[in-house]
Amino acid sequence: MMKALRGWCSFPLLAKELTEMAAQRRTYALRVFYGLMLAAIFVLQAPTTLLSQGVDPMAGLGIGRDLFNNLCLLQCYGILLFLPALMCGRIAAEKERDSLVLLFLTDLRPWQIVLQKFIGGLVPMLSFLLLALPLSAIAYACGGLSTTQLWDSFSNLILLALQVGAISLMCSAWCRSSAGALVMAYLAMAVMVVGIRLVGSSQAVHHALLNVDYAVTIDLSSWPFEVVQAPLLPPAIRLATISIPAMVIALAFLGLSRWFLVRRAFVPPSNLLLRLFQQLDRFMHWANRLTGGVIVVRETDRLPGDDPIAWRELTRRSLGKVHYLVRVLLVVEVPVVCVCAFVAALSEGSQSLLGVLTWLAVIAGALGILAVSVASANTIVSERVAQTLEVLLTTPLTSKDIVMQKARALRRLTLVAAIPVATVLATKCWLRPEWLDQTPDGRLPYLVCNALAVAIYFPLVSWLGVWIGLRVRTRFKAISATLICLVVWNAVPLLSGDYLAHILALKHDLYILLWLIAPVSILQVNEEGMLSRLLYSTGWPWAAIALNFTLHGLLLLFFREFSLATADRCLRR
Amino acid sequence: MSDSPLVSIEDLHVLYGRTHAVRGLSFQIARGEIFGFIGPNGAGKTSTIKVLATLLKPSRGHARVAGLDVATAAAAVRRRIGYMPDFFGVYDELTAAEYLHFFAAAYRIPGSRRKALVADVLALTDLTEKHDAPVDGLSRGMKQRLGLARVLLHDPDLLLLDEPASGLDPRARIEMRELLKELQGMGKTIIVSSHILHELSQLCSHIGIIEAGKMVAHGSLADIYRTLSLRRTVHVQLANPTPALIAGIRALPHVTGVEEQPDRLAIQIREDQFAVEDLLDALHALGARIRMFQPDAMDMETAFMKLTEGKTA
Repeated sequence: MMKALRGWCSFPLLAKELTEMAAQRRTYALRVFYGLMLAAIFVLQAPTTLLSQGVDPMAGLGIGRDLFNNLCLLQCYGILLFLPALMCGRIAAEKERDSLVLLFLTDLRPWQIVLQKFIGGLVPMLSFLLLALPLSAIAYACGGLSTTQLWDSFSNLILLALQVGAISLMCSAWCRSSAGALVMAYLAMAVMVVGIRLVGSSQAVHHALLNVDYAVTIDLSSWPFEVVQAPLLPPAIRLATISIPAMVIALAFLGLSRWFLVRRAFVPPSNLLLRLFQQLDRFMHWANRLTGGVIVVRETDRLPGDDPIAWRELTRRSLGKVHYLVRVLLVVEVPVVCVCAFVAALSEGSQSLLGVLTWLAVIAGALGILAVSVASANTIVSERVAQTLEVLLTTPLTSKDIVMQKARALRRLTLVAAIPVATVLATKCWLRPEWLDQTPDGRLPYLVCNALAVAIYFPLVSWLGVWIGLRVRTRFKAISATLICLVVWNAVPLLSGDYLAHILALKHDLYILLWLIAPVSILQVNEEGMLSRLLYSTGWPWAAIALNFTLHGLLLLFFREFSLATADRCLRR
Repeated sequence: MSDSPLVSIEDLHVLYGRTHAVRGLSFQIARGEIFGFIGPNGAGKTSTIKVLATLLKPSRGHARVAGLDVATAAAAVRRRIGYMPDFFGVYDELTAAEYLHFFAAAYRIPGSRRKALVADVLALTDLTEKHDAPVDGLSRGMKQRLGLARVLLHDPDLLLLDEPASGLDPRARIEMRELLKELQGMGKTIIVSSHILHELSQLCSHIGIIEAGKMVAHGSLADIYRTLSLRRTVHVQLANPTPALIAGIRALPHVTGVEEQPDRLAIQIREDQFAVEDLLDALHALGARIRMFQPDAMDMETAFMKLTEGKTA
């Protein structure tokens, strides 16, 4: 009995995980980065909150609640962004190193492995959350914040971390590789956040889920973006209402993690993409019989010419072959065209149906960007991982040649990713020309802005991925760095634009320049038909378009030229 | 053929951060030699080979191939070397012939010559039957031979083979050894690192033993054996191992040490000054009744163990 208890109370795996983390410099670098970002945004937002109270400094008293809520919101984003990355390598990395079998040979039970891995992943995130304590104290000192609200928010953040951590760990237990787990975890987060928001936005479901005549404790419709305080409920009931569903979700996903840990411990390394394509191949062959055997492109068994890397990427790899890409395009494009046709048939001037197209463009764009960023980040790293790079580097091919040929092979995928987005946006323009004509911008700027976005943003993401892929050694790092870079690049200017503008005392028009650093910002403004009001309220939309796309075109050139110029150094030649 | 050495390394240092992997290595390799590079794990063999393969820049010192400095004339050096790493991946989606065509294109070999060239190197490495076989399906031994075929495509002067026999079964190892001998016969200079000392001794004309980044011995096998023979150990079993007799043996000239083992004495002598036969005579003269008299055989493993202490850089 005592022996079993001692066995349960010892945490060798957790100790190993924490020791490993403590020995890694990046643990501290990441913590410092997180703390600095948190403090910087907190400090930047403080004047905004103060200014909104007027010029009297005394009016600032009592703003603690606003400051604290913003801080909690940032922590929520932090959990959603960092925790999947911290957690998804926990089990998948053991599979990659073939060390999971060694764990199974010890006395550790699967539940113990899962829990120790889970805690090992949570500890760094909890240390991140603790970094906000001094800032919370400042907010508390400003007044307007009760201790109940303080505790509620802390408990909500921890519950959110438990859920996100459990979902990410399940992805790690399911996938064979850390990179696969990372992509799956972020997709799961996106599905949960969007799904809950969609479910919650339905009033009927909302009321069914939350039969509340009193203050809502957990607002599922806005999970996890709002940390809601509910002072009207007794503390025990409030805590139970908040924590029980969250704990159930976390435990359910931990249970799935334990299940997959054993069931999928020895899944052989497999190319998921290849299997998908093989399935697609079978379906297309079957479908092609119905159409009388259409052959769009006949690929010959030709041998490499003078560009062997591009030859291999374009003729021997799934994501380069024309017929595979055409099939992928068909799989994505056909539903897109169907939805567009459906909207065209039913819209009859309905503005809300056009909103469906906007969402479709967002989804197609996000998936396209995800595909391009993952493929481009992986293009050089895959040579490192497969141990083929060294041999390639001893050939007379220059590093610039290698990078250029790799990048050239990505163009087809970039095109395939861009076509559905372009289709949706063109349809929208075609369906409601009069609506566009009535906006301050007009139809042409709308079209040009979207066309430039498709033409510049996709190659930009592609070169960003190549640039990052040149600098890191593992798929996991390359893909996570590229995705985090894209999220930060888009989110930080949008989130901190207001604060920076206040701090720097920028006029509105100048602050727009800051805001335009985020690639998505101009698309949002374009959808609202407000390009012409963006800069100096000139009524001339071209200024914003020219400025934005010159900036991002230059960035595209920078990433391309810098990747080529530093290729020798990055490849250690 | 020029008399100048094909490979010349002078005071080579390689640092990885604070780790000093190679510390002042200097040696030369003449054309047509098979140079065996021996050392414990972490001794600096792979780092040295990577410097010659232009994959690592020397932190200090010089490495030259055919008179070309690997740091400043890397592109020209790459045309003169063929490098096969200890672990290397292959492009799984290609066939053996496509794999070789890929590298023929990477070496800028004219398209008109590639087909015949690929057929030749496949024949040389006994892989003609695998012309259209997917690389993924080849055994480890065949992949190693395919790797060797790849390094021969551009007819390099120098082959850098890092552990080419690692992980191969006995038959594949023997085939690899025979192939390397054949390449030597074709005039190639080969640097080969290996842990399989017995095979290196059968293959190499010269060896270099490296430990903790420093060369502890190099030269022809005969030279090294001769050097090591200076302190030969002779195992002697006596019927009358009295303390007085053992003291007498210790007092013999040129005996550098006597170790008393449970069933024997291990007597170390300076062989250049005191022949093994003379020791036998001296023992008789001291009144020793000898049951066993066995000089240590000098083979590669003994040499390696004598010269190295298992230190890493």
